[in-house]
Amino acid sequence: MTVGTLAERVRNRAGRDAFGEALQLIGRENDAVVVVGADDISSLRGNAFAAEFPDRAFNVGIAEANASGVAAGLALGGKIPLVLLYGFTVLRAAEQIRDDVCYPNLNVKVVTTSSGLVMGEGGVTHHCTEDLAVTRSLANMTIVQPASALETAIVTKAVVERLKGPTFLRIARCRYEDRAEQALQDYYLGGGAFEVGKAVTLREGDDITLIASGLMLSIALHAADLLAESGVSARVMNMHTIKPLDSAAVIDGVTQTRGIVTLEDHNVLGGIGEAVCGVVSETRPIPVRRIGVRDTYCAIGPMDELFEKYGLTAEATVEAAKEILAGGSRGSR
Amino acid sequence: MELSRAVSMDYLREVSIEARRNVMKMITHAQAGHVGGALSCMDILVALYFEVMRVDPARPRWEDRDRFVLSKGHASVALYAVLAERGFFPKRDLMTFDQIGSRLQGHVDMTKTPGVDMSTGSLGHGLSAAAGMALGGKLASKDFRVHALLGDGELQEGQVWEAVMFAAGRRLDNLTAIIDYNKLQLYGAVAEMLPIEPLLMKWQAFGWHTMEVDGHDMAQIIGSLRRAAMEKDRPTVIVAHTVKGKGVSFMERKVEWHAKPPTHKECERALAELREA
Repeated sequence: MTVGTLAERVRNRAGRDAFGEALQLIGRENDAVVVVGADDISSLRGNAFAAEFPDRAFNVGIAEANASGVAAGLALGGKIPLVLLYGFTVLRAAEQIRDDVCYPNLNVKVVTTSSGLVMGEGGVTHHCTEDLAVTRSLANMTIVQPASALETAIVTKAVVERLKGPTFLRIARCRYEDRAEQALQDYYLGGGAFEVGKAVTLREGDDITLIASGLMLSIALHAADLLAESGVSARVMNMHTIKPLDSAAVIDGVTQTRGIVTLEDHNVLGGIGEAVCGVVSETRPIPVRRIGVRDTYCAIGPMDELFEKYGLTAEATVEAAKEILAGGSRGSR
Repeated sequence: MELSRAVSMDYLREVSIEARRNVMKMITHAQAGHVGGALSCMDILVALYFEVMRVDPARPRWEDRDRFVLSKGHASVALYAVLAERGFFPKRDLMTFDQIGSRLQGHVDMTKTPGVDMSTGSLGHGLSAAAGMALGGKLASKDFRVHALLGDGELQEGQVWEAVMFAAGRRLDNLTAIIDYNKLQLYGAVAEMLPIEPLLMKWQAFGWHTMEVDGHDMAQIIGSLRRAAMEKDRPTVIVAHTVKGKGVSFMERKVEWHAKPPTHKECERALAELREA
């Protein structure tokens, strides 16, 4: 299937719907692909796959630890299991993911479509701003977070077809915003490629570097527009692979711009911002500001309103960028 | 390809004694390792690897082999001794146990040790992976069997029961769980820490075929494992009554020998007892 056809199929769809679409396509092409869910197969839109391949979709019940272990066993038999998990249950199954998947380096894909604050109304138990901190610290784990429906479909296919080993795929439950959809459509339809571990610079700029992925990418693009209005040239990087982080791209940001702002719908502890800071501080320290949840449990409410409340916005990004460029320092918000 | 050999019970007992002697030497040399629970499950491992399981030491990743998951991964020394005895790796490697760079570490690592089918160590995980392997066998229309050995204290882990429900729900009759029921856990008697009885009734209630054997009677162990292979539509659990520290008089039924390494003098005494056995 061409990228164009894929783009048509998932146009205007939510992240999880694009995942479901891609999953079904992959299922047809590769009969080793199986799905293990914990009563959440429909929530992650694996139901079309399950309907077409009922003998390759396993609902283990509300038992995420067992789901991860069963997936490991299936991988040992040559299957390519995708474990579908609610974002917050990655924490419950963290030890199984470490011991049974990552430690033996098995080809299991852990997929969530409800990480971050996308289930904002569900309350703190249903938010998940810790999953990257946990999965980043698991050796052998690759972490990928797409930022549009098309990229979700492309990434899903790619990690199943080309990436052998433990993978955490962090997909949005909702629609990605138009800015990101458009930018990535232009990129992929224009012949751009998805390569694991290779960030994509969607917009060139020499004053400041904005690094984001997932739902935060459109916010970064918005911020770049706002910065352009005040004469600031912002580079926007789609860091779709969070681990292994594209250090070379970060270092380009370090050497070619005057500062970096990272954006994540995750606790700033243990997330993308810290990953970037790690590279920056080991190269040539320049100022980095992290946009994200600042080590707190968030209020209950719709995601957009939570983003406003906790400063995960284009305006806050602009402010952080301008502070860096003004040479000012600022403590933690 | 049938690799199991018809061997006499006497021969299996000799293998068990030799493997127990090696466990003693490994743990004494390393001054680390879990001796009590290794000795309690030894006869079960010997029955599996020398009589029941279809394995080929020359091809440890052979697709059609029977699988074994040591869910109580701390009994690693028992498995290493049996794998070495069976020819999966040279017996001289045993004395590297727990040393830096050794492929024989405290809890089993499938990426390092030939013959180890799943990495384990944290309790409660093994049955889930074994169930996944059994499910994979069904999907691929393979006739291999999967065995998982669990500790009795391990049954206190909630994940075990998730896997128990799952295996029954999926009718995994190619899966056998074996409980090394030595009645002791790290801190004391299982019955006093968190009772697991009535054990057979629990597994029956979850839809499993159950059997109860003397875990040191080779004929009973082998008979039950073979009987399990004939069961249709449901997995089997074999509750094997064992003695922690079995074979070394001063270790038997003593909670302090859960993970205490013997002194060289104690080791000599144990080896002498095992020689006479």
